[in-house]
Amino acid sequence: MITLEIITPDEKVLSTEATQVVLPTESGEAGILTGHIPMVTKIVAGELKVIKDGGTEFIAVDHGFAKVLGNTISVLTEAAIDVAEIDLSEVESAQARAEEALRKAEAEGTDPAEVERLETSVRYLIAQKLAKGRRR
Amino acid sequence: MANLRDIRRRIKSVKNTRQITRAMQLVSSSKMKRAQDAAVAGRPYALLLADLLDTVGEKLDLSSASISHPFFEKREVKTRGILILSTDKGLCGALNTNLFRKVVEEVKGDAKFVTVGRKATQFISRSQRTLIADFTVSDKASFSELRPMLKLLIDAYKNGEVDTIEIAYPSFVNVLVQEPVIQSLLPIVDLREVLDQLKKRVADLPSLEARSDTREMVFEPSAEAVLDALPELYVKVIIHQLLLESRAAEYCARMVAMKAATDNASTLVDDLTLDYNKARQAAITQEILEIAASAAAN
Repeated sequence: MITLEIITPDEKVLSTEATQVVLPTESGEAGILTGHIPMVTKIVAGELKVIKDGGTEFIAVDHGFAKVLGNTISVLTEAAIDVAEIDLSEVESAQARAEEALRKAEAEGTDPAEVERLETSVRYLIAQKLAKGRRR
Repeated sequence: MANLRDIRRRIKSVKNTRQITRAMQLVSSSKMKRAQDAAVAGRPYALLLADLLDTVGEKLDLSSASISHPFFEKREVKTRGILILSTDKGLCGALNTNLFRKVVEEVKGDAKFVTVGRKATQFISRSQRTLIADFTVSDKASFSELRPMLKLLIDAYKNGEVDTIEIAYPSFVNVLVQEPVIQSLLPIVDLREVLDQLKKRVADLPSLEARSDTREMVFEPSAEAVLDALPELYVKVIIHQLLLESRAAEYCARMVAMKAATDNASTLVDDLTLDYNKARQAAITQEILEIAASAAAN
């Protein structure tokens, strides 16, 4: 068993046991099993797979780092949510709102801070939606 | 001697005010607790970040001379970039005033400002200083709310719009004392110092434990790439932690100010009640005198 910890600046989001964890790294997906060599890797926005006896869980994460040491994986990311907690309709409407606002902002040429905020939310929402869709 | 009805009205209005200030005192004390809890909840992140930096440090030389990264470049300071963390609302004693005085004293040359909180926005715009952006952050002050601001600050630094990033905020000394502080964040002088800063922030957690696994650490894609991305995370997490600290300071200041107001209101009510009783007594005495006088006259 390996221990998985997901830590965001707000709180420790998750701490769980798993048989295998698949990380979305820069060079593709990396499956981590027990006894993996110590590793520090950059991860990209996407879904993190937690494989347990009972099945597979998907967790949407933003870009960050993962550290594998001993049998512990610590994921350092700016945002993460268990896919089960995401209400898909809400995500979609938020996404539509964000994209609409983005289009407007592009047309009007508003300040870059606002554009960045919206881009971040779109990127994150897409990752959430993908992960949720996969599960069905 | 004031009119009885006037005094009664006065007492009532002071009591109403006291009720409000007492409620505000209680609200701020519970909010302060929440801000402190949020700061504590963010510590594992800072700890893991320090740990990562430490791990990379084992592999690479961390002295700033050997790192080529925009955050370590010492540029000639033409324009200082200053982030001011203030409150949205007043009624928190001299908290904002002290902070702004500090800014006026210390920031003399060319500077650009980014503000959090309405009070700072008002101050900067009224004093005709250069305001780049003004952000509002809710009471919760979650990290995601800060991301656009962090992005803007870091971009401004990277493209040379500002040559430093400094934060002016009311630091939390204890419940009664809040000290205005201007802390310099960028450029980073020494990464070792950064590491110490991070560790200081998580002081009450157990220190970074010795590694249980002695095999050599692998870096993906490379140790340099990992080190390249870490300073930015450091800047972000420190700003978030400082914001939470300034929030705790705000609620403390408000709690103390409202406690003083409540106490003052109580004293005022006591004084007015005394006046009221005196006036009432005088009126009764007057009435008895009048009755006695009229009885004697008959």
